[in-house]
Amino acid sequence: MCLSLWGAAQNMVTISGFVKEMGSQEQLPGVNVYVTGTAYGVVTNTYGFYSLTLPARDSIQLVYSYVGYQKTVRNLSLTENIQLNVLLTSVNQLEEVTISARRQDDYISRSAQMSQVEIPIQQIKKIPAFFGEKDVLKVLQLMPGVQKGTEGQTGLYVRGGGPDQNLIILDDAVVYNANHLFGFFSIFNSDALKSVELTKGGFPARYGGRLSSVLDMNMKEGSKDKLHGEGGIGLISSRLTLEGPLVKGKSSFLVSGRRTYIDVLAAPLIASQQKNEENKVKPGYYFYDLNAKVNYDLGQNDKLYLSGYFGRDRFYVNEAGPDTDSQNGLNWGNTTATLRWNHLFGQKLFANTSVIASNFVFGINSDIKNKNADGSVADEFSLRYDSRIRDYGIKTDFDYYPASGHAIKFGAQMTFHQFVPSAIALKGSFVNQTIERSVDPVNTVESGLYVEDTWQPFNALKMNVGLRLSSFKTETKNYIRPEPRFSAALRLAQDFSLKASYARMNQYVHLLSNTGLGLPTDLWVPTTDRVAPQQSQQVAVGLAKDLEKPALTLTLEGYYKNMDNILNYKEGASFLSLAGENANELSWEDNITAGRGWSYGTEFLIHKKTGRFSGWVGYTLSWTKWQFPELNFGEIFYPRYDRRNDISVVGIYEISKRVTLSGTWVYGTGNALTVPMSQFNAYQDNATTPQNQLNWFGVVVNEHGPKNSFRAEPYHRLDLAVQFHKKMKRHERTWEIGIYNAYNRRNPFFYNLDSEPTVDSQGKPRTRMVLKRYSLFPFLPSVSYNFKF
Amino acid sequence: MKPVLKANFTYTQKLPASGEAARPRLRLPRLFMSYGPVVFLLLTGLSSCETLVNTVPESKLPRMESQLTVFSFVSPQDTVIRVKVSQTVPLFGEYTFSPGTSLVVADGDTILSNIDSFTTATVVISDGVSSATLPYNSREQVYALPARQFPIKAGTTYSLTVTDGKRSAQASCTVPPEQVPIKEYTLDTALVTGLSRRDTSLILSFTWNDLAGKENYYRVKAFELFEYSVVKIDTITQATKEARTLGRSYFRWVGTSSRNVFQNDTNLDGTLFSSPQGRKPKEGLQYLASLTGGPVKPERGPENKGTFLLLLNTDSHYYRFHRSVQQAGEDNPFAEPALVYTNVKGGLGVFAAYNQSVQVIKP
Repeated sequence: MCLSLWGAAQNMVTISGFVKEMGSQEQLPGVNVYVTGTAYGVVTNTYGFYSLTLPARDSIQLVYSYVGYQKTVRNLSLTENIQLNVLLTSVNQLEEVTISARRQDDYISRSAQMSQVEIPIQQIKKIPAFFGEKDVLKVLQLMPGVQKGTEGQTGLYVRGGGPDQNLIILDDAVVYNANHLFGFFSIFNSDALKSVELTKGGFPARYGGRLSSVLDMNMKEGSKDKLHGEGGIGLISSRLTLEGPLVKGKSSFLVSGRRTYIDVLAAPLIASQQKNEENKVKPGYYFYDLNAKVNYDLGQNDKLYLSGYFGRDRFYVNEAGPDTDSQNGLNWGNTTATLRWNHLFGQKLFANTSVIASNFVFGINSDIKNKNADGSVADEFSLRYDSRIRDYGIKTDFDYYPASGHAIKFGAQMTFHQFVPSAIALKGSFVNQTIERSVDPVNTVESGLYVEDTWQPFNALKMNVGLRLSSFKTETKNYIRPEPRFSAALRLAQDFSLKASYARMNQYVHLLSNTGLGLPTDLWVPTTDRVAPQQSQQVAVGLAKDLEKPALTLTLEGYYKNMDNILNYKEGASFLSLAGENANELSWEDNITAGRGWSYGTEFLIHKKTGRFSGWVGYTLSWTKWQFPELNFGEIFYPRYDRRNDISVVGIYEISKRVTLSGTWVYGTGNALTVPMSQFNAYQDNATTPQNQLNWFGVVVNEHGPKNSFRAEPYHRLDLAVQFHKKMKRHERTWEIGIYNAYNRRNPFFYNLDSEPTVDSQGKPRTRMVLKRYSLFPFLPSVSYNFKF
Repeated sequence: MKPVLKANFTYTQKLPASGEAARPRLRLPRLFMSYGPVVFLLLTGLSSCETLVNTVPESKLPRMESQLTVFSFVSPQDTVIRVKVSQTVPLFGEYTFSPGTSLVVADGDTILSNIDSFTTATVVISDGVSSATLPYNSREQVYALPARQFPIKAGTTYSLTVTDGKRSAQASCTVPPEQVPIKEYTLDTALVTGLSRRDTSLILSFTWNDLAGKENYYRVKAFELFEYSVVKIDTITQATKEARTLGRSYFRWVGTSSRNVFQNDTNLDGTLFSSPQGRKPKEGLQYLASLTGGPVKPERGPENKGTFLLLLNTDSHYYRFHRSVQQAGEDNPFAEPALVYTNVKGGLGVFAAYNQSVQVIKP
């Protein structure tokens, strides 16, 4: 039959349209659209659009299938071009307890793409979370090939790359710092998100600019039928999302906000503890964020979307006392805005054009006044530090479906970056002189041109071949780098494929970090004349198998990646290092050093996306190595987050329509750290001979052995949660009780040297040096209340 | 003899200041920055959980053997070749120093007094043709040999071998061939008024031309040579007697945030270099002696005998070692620790060379 279809190519017809959610009219990306019994199929794009060109036939059966939605079938007579918009019903909207036992047809074995992780938002909301705060990034950390850094942190370490090597995109806008609360929460509010997709390798040509991963997130558009709301009250924060129509059928909006109140709750406690103290110290911290989106339907062929994100973190310590008054603070936050225009040129060509702005600011302020006994000011100190990155971009993307077997994407993108890596002002009598250094903004232009084709030359082979031409213009230099991309899936048997991919990536902006935490002090800097772009090459091969009963997906992948020109601070340097070497003004370029890294490993995943019992088991065996001429005396070493074994187990069990149980267990090899092992006197060239007697002083220094040669103890943790759902008259509510670190494992956060009194064999008191492990989160219960209408 | 010792101690306290000069001056904001988040987390409920801090059992700690440490800086201008030999002390377990060792805390640094020397090693220096064994000098606690017995020549490569029977350490270095002259200097006298003090200071800076077409490393030093009186008391007659002696007091370097005491010419080849600003109070110290509780002032005050500006054209070992010791002083638990540079095979420490030029400013 396939042969006859191929033969009848002279009379081709096109069927195209949008796939949306029943009720809200939310456009659904990633829906499988295929003709039963044939190889004809396509996946809807980000805006829910699909187009299929096939030979005319009397009758075909067209299937629309998407995880979390009821499969929809249309029987059509296909003799002329058709535009067909289809509504899918969400499984959650169904009245009866149909936790659909039948799996949906999102067969991984059928896609050319490999190394990709997609987690339905509904599943994210059921997985236990730290303090009940659902976090997209932390759920992604549970996937093989993706690792967490330090306890509780949202940073993603993908296949040996750092959190700076992830391209994080929210509605086409690049997000530079995805952290709230020093990395313990991500800025993404899952109530406002529609889709989350993480690519670890085999990158399609439409993405570029980072070495290790692409995290593409899209916000919901807002329901077009009626006002809906969703929200929650937790121990740390509360959130509320409202969405609804503006002009019936034409336009809708979504607004989502979140704020923490730990500062408000803690204030009376802190005050009562300091009742009798002379110095009153007021520490506090809060963050808030706001997502908003409006869209307007200008007819069948044109749609406009305007979306934005605004978030701020503020941490402060204010002290008032008889001797000292001080105000110290840290502020940081992202702002993004995207205006998008969708246009349909006939049935085969879809275009989206976006105008994007993104801004990240970070500031420190510190004002300290020491007072005399009479209350007058004895001396003052003030510090201001600012760092900023601002992007303006334009981007246009085309989806072209010329004929069956081809889905072509092409486009262009240009971003104007303005960096102000650091500006510092210091004054006061604590410092020898007033220092005021403002660094001139660095203006650069990053651009990309790409074309890719998802091509199915014959039934058993599907591939995506692409080329991206990226370029970066600094003040005097223009880097132009071609980036070939390739991925393919060869069907070996029914629902069983062999996949392979190759990708070359360039990264033109760099993050300087020396804490390993998601601190806002981490500094984004551009490629310059002296600092070359980072570059990586990755090859991956894998096997993918889909099973019908039980409905499981199994993937096994191996990868090898090398990274050139990766940057790190020089030993001892940090973002506040004023000692710019060999330059008359402060320059961060002097504080960094370039090296290379390579990583390889294998990842195994069993995933069950649907059914009463769902979840996954992932295992990663990996190695990451670095070599920097200026670090570890040029010898190869393991970076801090090199992790030999990483296991995650996630289970969600729907006991009934009203009760959901879930649990996760993670295990990871300990971080590679540098720990002092012995001490010695370092004698500098300061020997002098006053009065003919030699004075030669040593400074006690630590001997660490090779860099990162100490392994922290393994990390493991079990989290549990139970959710009680109830449908009320007007709304649905969920109580969630969660436990973080259920068996109270003392996981290492950092190690520090300490001395401890002890008694020797003769009973004499002695001091003993010990290594102390500091843990962060013990057994932590939490409760939260969520509602939806 | 007691009063002499007391006068001597005044020196020992002053000395670390010259070596310590290049330390960053931003202690306070740094501390706030690095620890702020952690302090905050601890404040919000974690400090109450004592059990979150645990001692790692000794069995899980890496075992380190003690290693030899060797330090030596050689120069054609020096009159003595000195080698300090010691060993590392494994950190974990009972923290006991070898007998006679004491701890001194000065300027926030813990300084082991220099009694941790290793007295039984064999120390041999060689220029590839001839070699010499350095005997142990117990008064100075170093292995030392007058340079006239084994001259150090510019452009020559030397190797140093230290053995203690079981362990053996070896290192080599080449003396830079050139002396780099000081081009210009300024020396001013200024009245400095601080919170608690008010003194006359010498303020110094100087420049030099980098040697073009070569990789160069520099270190600046400066001292004031002065003559002063030491009061000795005859314990029987209670008579005092003044003796004149020569002393050196070193400049402290400020403004080191932009110009270090240690500099190199990467990206700056052939350009004009300048020192940081050197400062020191003019020698005004009166060396006192105690006579039945009452202070005794010497008749004559100190007298300047010249200001010596030293420019050391060093090898890379010298530069990298000193820079790494500066950086090792930073203590952020999250930052990657800076490793102390070594070029000693089979041990730790440094064997480095320099070629020094001097400019003397007569009083």
